[in-house]
Amino acid sequence: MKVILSGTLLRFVGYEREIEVEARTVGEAINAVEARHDALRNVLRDGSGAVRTTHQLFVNGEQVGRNGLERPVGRADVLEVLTAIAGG
Amino acid sequence: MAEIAEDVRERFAGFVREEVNPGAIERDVEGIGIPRTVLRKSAELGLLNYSIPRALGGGGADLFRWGVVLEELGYHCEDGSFPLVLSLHAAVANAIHQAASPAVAERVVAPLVRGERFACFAYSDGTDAFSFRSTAKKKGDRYLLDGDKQMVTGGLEGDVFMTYVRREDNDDLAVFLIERDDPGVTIEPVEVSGFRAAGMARLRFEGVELSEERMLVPFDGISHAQLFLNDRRGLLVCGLLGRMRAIVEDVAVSVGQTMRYGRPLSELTSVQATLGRMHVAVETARAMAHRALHGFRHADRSSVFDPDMAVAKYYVIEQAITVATSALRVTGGCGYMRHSNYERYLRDFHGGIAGGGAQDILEVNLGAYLSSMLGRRHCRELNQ
Repeated sequence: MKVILSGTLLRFVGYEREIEVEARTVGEAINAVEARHDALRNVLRDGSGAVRTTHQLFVNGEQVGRNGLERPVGRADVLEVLTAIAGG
Repeated sequence: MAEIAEDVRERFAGFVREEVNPGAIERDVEGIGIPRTVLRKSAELGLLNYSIPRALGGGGADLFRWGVVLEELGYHCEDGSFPLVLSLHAAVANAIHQAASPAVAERVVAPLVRGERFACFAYSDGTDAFSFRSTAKKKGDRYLLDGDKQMVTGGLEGDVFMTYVRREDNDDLAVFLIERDDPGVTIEPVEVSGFRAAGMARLRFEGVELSEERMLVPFDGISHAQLFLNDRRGLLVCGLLGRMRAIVEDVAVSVGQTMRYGRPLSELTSVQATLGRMHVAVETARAMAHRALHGFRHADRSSVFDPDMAVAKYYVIEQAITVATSALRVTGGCGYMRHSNYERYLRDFHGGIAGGGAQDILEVNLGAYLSSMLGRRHCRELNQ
């Protein structure tokens, strides 16, 4: 499947916007991207290890909530991580 | 909404007219913050704490009603900093109440509700959200805070600062309460173009030692700040909306009294068209803002980025700038004089470009949101 990152996240993945990973769930897809780009982990997850609320997850354009990490995904699916941050 | 407007007229308009409006120009020229006596009186009248829960001694209004109150206040109030400071203070007080331990909430929030102390949001670090330089270092069971917050609205009169620092023990952003009289805290005025009575200040803290109970949120302060800013977008524009309405009414009266070529300026079709465009700007901005305010009652309240809030903030600010600029254009030299106040309002409205997320960032975020949601869905449907 494909994971798409944008905006502020790109510098943590060497500006690799689209990343192909093998995954059965949304959570596995995130783990796979983090395994490839270690710097992303602290950005995606908070101090407790949970995915930060500020990152919104979309599978094929449908937003999935915090509990969506267990959602099954297939080879043709696209997971997009939207980080709509303002102020700084 | 007429009932809310009437409530504001009866309870607060006289106070605003007699005790807030008279010093507006001087405060703008000198960069003096809204006086504490005015803020305290607004608490006594039930305005400062209008949206704070009744259990804490506030008025208990929901954010929809509070937004409409702020709009009406903006209509009556000639100092745009006043509704801005009120809404910010209430938002920070509510955020502290939601996150603090009962002991801290009791000690800190109660004086905020009574208007005896004032609360600020000290976020901006002069970096991007993942590179904050302000830090908290663990020292036994306490934390040592070092940081520099360069733009703190209300900071000049602030007593309690909800601030965001990177914890060195977990490399995550935490939210702490810093107080004005904590040793190591310094507050300096910051010169700004608009909202000059909102007390913009720089907050610096060096080796400030705090107990663990001053840590409101132990991690993911980024999400905490984004939730806070999401709501701020819907509320911070409300005062501006009211002022936009007042400007249009003021201009309509002014061009009706100004004679050119033997007839009132208001009879020139170009002037009528300008007034028409200003009216459209106000009414469409109100529609966008009220839709966002309705979201406080109906939308998912856990959203860190509600597009309706972002659209409302973006659109109202753009229309406010258009309205104030149109006022200057149509009234010519008269409008350019300081007593007309239009140039001051324009500077205030420009302040909205940065507040609650800069306009250009909101454009990017809205575009990315649409792309994530609609673009991918469209591709999926095409592939089916």
